[in-house]
Amino acid sequence: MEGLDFIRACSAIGAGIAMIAGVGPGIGQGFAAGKGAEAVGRQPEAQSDIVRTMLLGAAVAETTGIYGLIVALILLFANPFLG
Amino acid sequence: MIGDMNIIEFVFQFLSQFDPVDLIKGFSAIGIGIAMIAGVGPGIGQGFAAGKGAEAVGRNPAKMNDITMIMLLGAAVAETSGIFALVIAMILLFANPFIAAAATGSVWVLAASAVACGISMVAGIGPGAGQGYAAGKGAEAVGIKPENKGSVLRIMLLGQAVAQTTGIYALIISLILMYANPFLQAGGKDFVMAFSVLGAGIAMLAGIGPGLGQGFAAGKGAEAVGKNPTKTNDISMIMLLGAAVAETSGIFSLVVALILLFANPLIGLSGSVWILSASALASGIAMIAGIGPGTGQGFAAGKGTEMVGIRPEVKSVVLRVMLLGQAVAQTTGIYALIVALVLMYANPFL
Repeated sequence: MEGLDFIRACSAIGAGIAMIAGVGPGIGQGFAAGKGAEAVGRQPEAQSDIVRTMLLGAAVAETTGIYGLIVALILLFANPFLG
Repeated sequence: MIGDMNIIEFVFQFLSQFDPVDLIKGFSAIGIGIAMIAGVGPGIGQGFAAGKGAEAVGRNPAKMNDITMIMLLGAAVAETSGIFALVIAMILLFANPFIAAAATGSVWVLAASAVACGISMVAGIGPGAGQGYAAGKGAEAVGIKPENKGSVLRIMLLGQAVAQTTGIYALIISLILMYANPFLQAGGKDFVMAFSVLGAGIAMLAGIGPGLGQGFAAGKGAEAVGKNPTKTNDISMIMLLGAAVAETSGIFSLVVALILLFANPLIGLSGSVWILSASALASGIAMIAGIGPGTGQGFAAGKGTEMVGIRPEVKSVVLRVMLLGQAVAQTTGIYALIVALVLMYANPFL
């Protein structure tokens, strides 16, 4: 096996492992969705405020998932180790 | 057995065919991926904060600005562990110190250090989730009693700062491995050094526990102060005392990691290099047990904090039972420390 192929193989593994980061936002945003649904059920007249707060908080929670995706994409398409 | 080699020897022979720089690059890629797992923490924690924020806004839409401010401030603190991990990943990608050292250092130590840097950062799951919980409880408290916003914010940030500590320890170990690696100049026994480095990184995972538990305590502190701001001193005291006990597992792991790095008892010993290496690795793996006591003791700290906020007059009896229970919870962490110390200082296999 060539050295570059070894690096490619390890980069594939690293890219896959990085996506495990998605577990977090998945759980957190799901919790937020549930609490949002509950809140809207209790106070339907506050729906727009509730949804706005929920989406704002969920957007913040998304960030670490994006970081993981960016790192995976770098390893796949702009890999500095293969230059 | 493969031919006359065992599996481990086969793997090392396979890896030995590669140019050292290629090996280091490959293992750096793996370490980079592992580091990003830290993002699980802030994801969970900030999502919790979002949910509690939505709930609070539902109850008190007029106070949406105050609620959102606390939610976002707390969520920003929770982001820290994710940022640390991203920074380490970016350093390993674009300014990799191990590739630079390939000419002079052992390839096994450098490759193992790259992976260990990534593993260590996964400790950030704890603080990320814990601080997010605190943010959510802060948002909830401000929604109920917006006039106590200042007190709630202060104790939330205080508790979150305590929860951040094990994430800082993990970052320090990563930075040591990258910029002050004690094994680069040393000669011989480089397999033992490589596995010691891995053990040190794995030991830092214990920091997940205190991060979670102390974050929970911070959230309960914010909740208690929101309800009863005149009792902030009592509430703070119990929260910090309980959180200090929860820190123990993080300290134990940091000590084991530092021993493996700077006062390694296994490197100088004679004996099978595989037993020495495995023992170094296992010392680190054992310390993962600290996740349990860290989380549980933090839960106890949080419930103690909650009770003192409700009934400050029973403070001393609450404190006594909390500490007693936390001491019991520490036992499995002690067992793990003992096993790690036995492997390092009284190894029965050597």
